[in-house]
Amino acid sequence: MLDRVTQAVLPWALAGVLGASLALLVILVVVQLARRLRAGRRDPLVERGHALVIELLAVDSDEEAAGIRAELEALRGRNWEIVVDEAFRVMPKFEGAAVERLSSLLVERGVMESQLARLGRGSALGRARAAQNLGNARWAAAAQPIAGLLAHGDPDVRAVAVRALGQISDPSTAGAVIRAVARGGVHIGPAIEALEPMGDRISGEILSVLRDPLPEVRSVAVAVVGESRIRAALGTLHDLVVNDEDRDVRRLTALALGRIGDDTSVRYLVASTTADPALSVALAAIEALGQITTDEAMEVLCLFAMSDDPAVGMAAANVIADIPLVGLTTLRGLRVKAPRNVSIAAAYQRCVLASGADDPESDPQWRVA
Amino acid sequence: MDPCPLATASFVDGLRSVVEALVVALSWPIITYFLVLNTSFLALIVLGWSSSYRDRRRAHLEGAEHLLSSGRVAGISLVVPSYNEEVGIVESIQALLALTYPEVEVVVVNDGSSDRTLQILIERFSLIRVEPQTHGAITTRVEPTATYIPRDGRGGLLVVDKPNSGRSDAINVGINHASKDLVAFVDADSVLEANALLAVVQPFLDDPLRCIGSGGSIRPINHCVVDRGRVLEVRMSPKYLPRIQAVEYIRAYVLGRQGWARAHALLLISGAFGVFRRDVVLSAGGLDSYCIGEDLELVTRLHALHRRSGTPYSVGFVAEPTNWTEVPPTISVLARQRRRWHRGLWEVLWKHRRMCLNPRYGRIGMVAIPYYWLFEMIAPLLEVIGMIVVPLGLALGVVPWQYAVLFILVAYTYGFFVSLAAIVIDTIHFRRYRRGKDIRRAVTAVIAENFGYRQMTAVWRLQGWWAALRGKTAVWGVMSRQGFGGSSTSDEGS
Amino acid sequence: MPTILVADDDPDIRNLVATKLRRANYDVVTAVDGAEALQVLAKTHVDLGVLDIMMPGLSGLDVIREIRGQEGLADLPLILLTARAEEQDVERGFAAGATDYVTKPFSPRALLARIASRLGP
Repeated sequence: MLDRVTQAVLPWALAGVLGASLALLVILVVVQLARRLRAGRRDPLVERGHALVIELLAVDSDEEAAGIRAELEALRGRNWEIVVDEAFRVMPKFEGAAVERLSSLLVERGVMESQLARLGRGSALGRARAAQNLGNARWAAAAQPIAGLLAHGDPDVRAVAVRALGQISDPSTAGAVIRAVARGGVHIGPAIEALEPMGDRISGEILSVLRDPLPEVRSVAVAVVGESRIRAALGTLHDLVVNDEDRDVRRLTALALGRIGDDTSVRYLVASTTADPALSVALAAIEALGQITTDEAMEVLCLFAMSDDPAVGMAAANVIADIPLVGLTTLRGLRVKAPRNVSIAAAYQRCVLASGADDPESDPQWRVA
Repeated sequence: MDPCPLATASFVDGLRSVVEALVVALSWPIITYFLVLNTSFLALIVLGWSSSYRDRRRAHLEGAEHLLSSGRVAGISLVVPSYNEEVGIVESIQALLALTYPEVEVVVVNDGSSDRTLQILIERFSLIRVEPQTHGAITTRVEPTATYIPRDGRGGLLVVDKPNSGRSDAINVGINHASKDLVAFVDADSVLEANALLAVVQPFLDDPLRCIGSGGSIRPINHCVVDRGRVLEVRMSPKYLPRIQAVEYIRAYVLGRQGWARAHALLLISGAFGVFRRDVVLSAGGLDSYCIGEDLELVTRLHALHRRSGTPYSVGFVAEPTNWTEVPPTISVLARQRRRWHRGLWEVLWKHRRMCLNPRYGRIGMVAIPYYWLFEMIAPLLEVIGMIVVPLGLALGVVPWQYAVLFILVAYTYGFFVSLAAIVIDTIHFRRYRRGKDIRRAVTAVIAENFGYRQMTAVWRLQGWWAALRGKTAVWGVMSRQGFGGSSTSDEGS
Repeated sequence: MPTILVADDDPDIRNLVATKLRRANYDVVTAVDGAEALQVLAKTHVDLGVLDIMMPGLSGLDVIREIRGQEGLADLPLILLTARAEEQDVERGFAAGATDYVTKPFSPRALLARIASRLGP
């Protein structure tokens, strides 16, 4: 039953598996040793580079900076490369004169130029790193070349490029980002994040794609419109929030209407809350109503707070509770009107506690009868 | 004449013919089965490696800082079912509240603890009793009896008290009280890495329209240095039992799941570390609290619901973020856990048997579920048959020694190679274990696993299956919490 | 000179703020997380604290709540460092008893100015 072929193969197979296991072990040992060796040599250099960069960021004036600059300028080769890495890494964490001092040093040493050149050649990882560095430095001249990377074959390169464009925030790159979304080249989350800071400087481009056939593009458009409070889009948003075929576009549109906060949106948001089949849309609409500070919006919220659906009722009551000043008095009124409604009672209690009441339980409206 | 030798001889003859028949019928299927099984593990591991390599490169390129300031990450409600956790509850809740994440709400559900869990929470966080803040309407077996929030109204913490009804029912109660867009289930005795939430929501950030769930890795916390709900130093346990489980978890819950996610067919997000969209979980009706493998069941059901209604969706997995969880340190607890897991697996597969090989459910129905039937459900049966038939056949002279060698090669030596590959990839790639001592411990665990551990787990899993088939009613409450943090994960790939 | 506590788990920010303050002749004590910050506050006299909100284990807000009830620390000026997305946390921070806040990314010089104005001439 065990044929000859198998018998002949058996020892080889056994040797093969054991040999491969041995090879894995050798790889493990070699990699660990190499890492240790490298860290031992590199770590002190990184520490030194980090300290110098921090020093340069911490000085108060250019005169004081001169000494540290001289020290940094004397660095060559690997020591300098480590400083460059450190500089780009810490840059996005800070602002102001300190960061400018750091970037002027990098400019003088030709670092920005070489990073720009690296965008266009070499490995995907190298290009992505360059885009990341230039984005961290908010280097305006890099906007167009980085936008070119949105067509790169590697998704990581595209993702980094989108983010860098958001950091640089050059409106002329908005079109390229939207086109990349339409091609499926970049995820919509990073795209929205990149376009938001460009705000109303790109309103023309954004308005023109609100009715794009692709839900991804519409999502990006409505989110950016909301974040930048572009009122010219209201009419289209009102239509989308009720009629868009895509549940998530409707949800994002509701949130955008809240951001804009216009009182004409109330009736559309009410329609969403009551009629939309998706709970996520209804909840987003309630959240949006909370951001529209008119009496009409408040009345509607009060009605929703008394809803039989606990998800809607609790969400509406909580939204009311979060409205500064008015929230507490409104909820107190609702407590009297609907003393047995638990959602309202819960939101009211939360509101009372947040207002810093010393003895909340003495409040006559505290407990449900 | 003494009848005994004759009877023995005829018994041996009879046994020989039975074993011979088994060998003839099963020898090649068994070899093929293990060959395919181990190859599929290897394929998943390599697939997982390639995709977490990407994740890592990307995390390295993107960093976490911009996510914190982007304002685009959705809030998360962490639902923490707690049963008799008075010892570490305060520190673990504080650690959860301090996770590196912009918007976290912690919903602690006291599942009828008989110790002072609730009192300690009330004192330490100066809680005050309020009306129930229910957002959801999942039907639960018991009704919550009281809700508490901090007296200063700061929000972010909600404690719900209820009579004991088991972990999944407690989680459902928690989900009903959660208010953020995302919900995650976290056990009070496990430790989430500080930036784990930020990393695990990456699939939601990438694809906010379609992503409904995302999971992260689970690793054993046994022997790690833990302080105030944080892992300060990662260590491999010197005891064999937790050590072998560490290897198992790396193979199945770190790399294996990443592989499934890469193939867009992830069926299990571990209940110990999974993040879901709250509205999706609510409309699905929450966890099935009558099912033991509740986490596997939830993801399977979400797949089913979305595929049936034709709604586009995605389920993600990120291997880097890790939840450190206590694994059973003793044989008896481990046995109970594995019996439970396998029983849960059977219940889920049986409940959703219509999905199996049904093209309507795409890759889930055509690949993932059949794979679970074939290589998770049935694996212990064939392993036990092999374990009995091969030595017996060898002793009775029906099985040639070459076949025994082939069996050992395909089932164990190959399996050893696969586990070793997982360990090597994990050490080089994820770098959780850095000390030489821990890495040596992992390697020896890979060898030790084949002598006793695999055989024992195979038997336990068969027992679990048997219990499920006999339809013994599940034991709730105290019993359902046994097996520590890992009890929430169903088995795969061991 | 006044002593200032700098608590942040990010070494870049911790080192920079500490360096900047030392150059301005303040005494500086640092902490890598909330728990260490509490230990420092219990042992050392501190005139002002710069606290990151999001620290592993025990957050900046927890630290504030913890010390506001303690004698001698109830009036300690505390400046919170927060990421932009944490608007809610800013509110919570003030509710808990923070004195001021600075949003990341921040200008080191502006932070120094705020600290100086809190401590007076």
